[in-house]
Amino acid sequence: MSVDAVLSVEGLAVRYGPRTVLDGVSFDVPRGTVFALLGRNGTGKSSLVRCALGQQKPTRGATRLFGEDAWASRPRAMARIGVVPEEPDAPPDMTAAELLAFCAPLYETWDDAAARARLERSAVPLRAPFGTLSKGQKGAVMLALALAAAPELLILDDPTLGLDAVARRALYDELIGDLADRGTTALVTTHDLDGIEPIADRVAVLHGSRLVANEGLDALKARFRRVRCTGMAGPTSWEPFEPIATVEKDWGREAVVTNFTEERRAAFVARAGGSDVEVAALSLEEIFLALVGTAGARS
Amino acid sequence: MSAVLGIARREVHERRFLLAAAAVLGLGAAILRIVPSAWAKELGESLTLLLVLAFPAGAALAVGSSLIGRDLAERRLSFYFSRPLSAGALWAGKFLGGAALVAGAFLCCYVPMVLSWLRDGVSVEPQAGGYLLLGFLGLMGLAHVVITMYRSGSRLFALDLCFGAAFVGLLAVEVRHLTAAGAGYSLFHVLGPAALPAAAIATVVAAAAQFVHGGADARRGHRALSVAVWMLAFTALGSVALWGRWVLAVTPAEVGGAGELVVAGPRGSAVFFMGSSLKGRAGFRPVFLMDGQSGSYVRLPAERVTLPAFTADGGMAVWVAPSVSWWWYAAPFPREVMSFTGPGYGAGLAVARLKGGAPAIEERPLEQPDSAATALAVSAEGQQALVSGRSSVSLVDTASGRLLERLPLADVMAGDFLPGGVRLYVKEVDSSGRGAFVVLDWSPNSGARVERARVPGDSRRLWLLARRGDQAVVWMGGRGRLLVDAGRGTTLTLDSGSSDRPGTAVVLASGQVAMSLADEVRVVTREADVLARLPIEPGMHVYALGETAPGELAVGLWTRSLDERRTLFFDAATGAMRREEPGLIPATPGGGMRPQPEPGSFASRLFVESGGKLVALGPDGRRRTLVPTGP
Amino acid sequence: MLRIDPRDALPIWKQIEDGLRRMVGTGGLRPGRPVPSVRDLARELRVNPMTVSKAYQRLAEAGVLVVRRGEGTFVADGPPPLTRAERTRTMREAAARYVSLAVTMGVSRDEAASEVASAWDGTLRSREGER
Repeated sequence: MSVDAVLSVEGLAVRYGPRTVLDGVSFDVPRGTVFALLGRNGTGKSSLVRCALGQQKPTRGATRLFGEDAWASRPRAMARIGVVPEEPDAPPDMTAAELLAFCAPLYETWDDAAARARLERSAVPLRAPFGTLSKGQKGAVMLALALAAAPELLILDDPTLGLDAVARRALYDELIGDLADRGTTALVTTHDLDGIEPIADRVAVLHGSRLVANEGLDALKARFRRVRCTGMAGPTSWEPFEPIATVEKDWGREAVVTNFTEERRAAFVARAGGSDVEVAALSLEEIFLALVGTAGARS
Repeated sequence: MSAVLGIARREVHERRFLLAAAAVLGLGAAILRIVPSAWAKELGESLTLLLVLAFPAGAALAVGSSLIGRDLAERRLSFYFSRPLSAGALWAGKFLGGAALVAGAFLCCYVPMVLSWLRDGVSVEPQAGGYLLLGFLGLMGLAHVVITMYRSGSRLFALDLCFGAAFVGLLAVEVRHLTAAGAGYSLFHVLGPAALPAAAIATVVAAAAQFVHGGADARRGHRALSVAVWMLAFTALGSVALWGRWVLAVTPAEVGGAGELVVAGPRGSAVFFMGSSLKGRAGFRPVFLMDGQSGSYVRLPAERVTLPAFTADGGMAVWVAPSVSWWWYAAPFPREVMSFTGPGYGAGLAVARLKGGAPAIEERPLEQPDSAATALAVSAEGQQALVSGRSSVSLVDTASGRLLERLPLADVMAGDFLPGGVRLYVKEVDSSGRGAFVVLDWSPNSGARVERARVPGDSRRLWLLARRGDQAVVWMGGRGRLLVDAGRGTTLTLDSGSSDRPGTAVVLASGQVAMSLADEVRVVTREADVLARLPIEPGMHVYALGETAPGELAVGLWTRSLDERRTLFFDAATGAMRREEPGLIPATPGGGMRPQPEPGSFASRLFVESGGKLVALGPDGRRRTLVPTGP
Repeated sequence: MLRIDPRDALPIWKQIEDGLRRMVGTGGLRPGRPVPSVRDLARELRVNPMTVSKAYQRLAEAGVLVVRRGEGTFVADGPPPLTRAERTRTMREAAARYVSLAVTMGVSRDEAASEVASAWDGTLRSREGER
């Protein structure tokens, strides 16, 4: 466990009856990083987030917030955490102003003016009941409520789900602004891989109730490449690369390799002989698809 | 703390329309009662009752089921748990808000009603409001529990339903058992008010367990809630059962021994008595049927015992056992427990076999019972019973309760079995309001009726004072005391003094009559000649007269404070006082409802000490205390 | 203008660093002028401010940018004061990268060298234009 991990997940296992949703998941979210947690629908991201927030007791393992057990220290920890849930869960009859008034006394550091400024920026009416707001406005309110408490840790559970491009942009704007101003740590689960890619520091990928990746984004992108071999006289194996998602085509074959370095490329080219070798970098989305598209992908 | 208040305020604000509606309805009903129009008053009355009971109950159910129910259904609990709010604070805030709503709705309905009642001069029990409010809060908690179990989506709900059915079933069994044994008053008026706050507290505690253990995890919370609820519920049920056993185990000593109402069989040693104290166990005052020799006794529910009639040999006693519904006890206003000697709303005939040892009692359903039925007499062999009702007198088969014959005759005060028929003592009022005391012989087989005696007078002030064989002593206000001989058909005025008190009387074995007047006991002959006058000290009253041995007249005296009681024994022929027994008065109060006990019989020599101990006076004058030894 | 391509193999901070270097080199960012704040540039590019911060830090260490306390970050007035060895090493590394890129694309040495020459001319021309 890292000394300065704001959120720490240790051997987390969650089972609902016979169904295993998480099986021995461990990772740390270091202070000041933006940590992206990726996974397909139904892979247990929500359960993981609930356990991380101390709202669900896991079948095995533990989650720690600021060093203390999440379930036991939840009320204390929440004073330093801002949560933007997947489904906006504020009571529908409360207005934004009432929500601010309700939450303000719960926190020691509460910046009401900043929250109101945020809401104004997102064009959210203060006196309309929450239930009557649009999805984007609801999301803006939840984010404003989360940020107003100047939290040390932000947890965003699929914050851009269902938002149009404008609303999405606004959300990232607010988030980046907060990150720049206060160096907040953030855990983000999302399907918007293009949007989170420039922002994330670390990435973890959940697949089949386990983590198939957990590292810095730069390092992840550095070791993943798509390698294409044209021509028939190519090597039959991919050594020294470790490929996943290999494809045979009539013009040749290609694979996504997970351990790319320049040395390995030189070695492979040497073995390739006459055939052409093309190497292309992959976006986060392509890396994700390669990792979770294959059954039983090796990490 | 501010978090708790914030949440509470939120809950109230969310449902503020409920309070508004309550205020409007409550004021509206009160105004309707004030408006001078008659139909408005009536409308106001019914609206008021509906309001005070139905509206807060509905509000309690709605509030209770929506405290968590709505959040659970819409998965909004996470809103609270993502904030620095402890589960305890959330629970406290929600319940505080809910309680404020229910209390507010209740007061909006209740206060205007109470004010208008006070204005009308109706007295209001101050605790009634408190108990109602606690009841509604319990209802709120119950709604919360049910909705949590239903909405959590856990399969535990099916188990909860099973437990719920089992709990209700067992509770119904216990309630029925207790009310059948006559402890219904104790159950509903002593335990009931304690049960309401207990239920309210129990649901709140269970909800606390749910929140603290389960947090935002609805399934976990449901588990905790179910465990808490059922543990508390079945523990409470067990406690009620134990409490019931304890209540039913009341001994005669705990109810102050024998009170004034004691009835003994003409032979043998069976005694019916009710306690003198009002306390008992949780207000449970049964009637005891005890065998004087062995001391073994049976407890009978007072509401199901009316004045028993005995066979001549004292081997069997019969009485009408009215049916009492359990919901009589549950009315919000205290119901007067029917007295031991009062009339019953006939439903069954109880037959007790008294021959030696513990009494054995069976009950048969009465066929076509008349209302306000009492047993008057039992035939010598115990096969038939004479039962009078509000509008008829009936001959009933004791073995089956079947109706054998019925005579439509109201106000039959007493009766006897004669060879070939029955003799009835009737208080008659004709259509013009004239009254009479009538002695009638009725042959059920032939239907023939023969009038033996008729004494016109004010039947509203008519008391049957004593009966022995053909003779009956009657007091009629304004005419004094009269001796009616049904055999000869004669009426003799024993004392024409007008007094407003009937006093007591006894027909002696010699045929003379002893009766108590204002300041003396007078013994008169059959010809109304005064044989003796026995002065009574001022401050003492004659409680009862009896013939404890042929020619020996016992005069039981007591003071108002009941501390001083004494029986003086006189020679009936000469009026000389033979002896005095301090601290005792005759147990059987006399009266003409039943034939007098034979002089020297157990019943004639049964006395009650202060403190309620039953004492049998031996022929040698020795006292033998009847000790109840247990069922 | 500074452009970020997430698909590029180069880490984003490196792209920012290189982009800023290019802009300073072509005169798009004049010496002594302020550069956008970390916050503003992060928002504009929609990247993690730490990323921008890292690029700025490296450029400050390399002497391309200058951080003045309380005032902000500015373009350095003159060329960065590098030792001869540092300059050589930096140039050599950049050249090695350029060459392996060319080799893997199958470009001949002459073609690669001529590209260098025209890029040099182009950069100098725009620098002249900016003055």
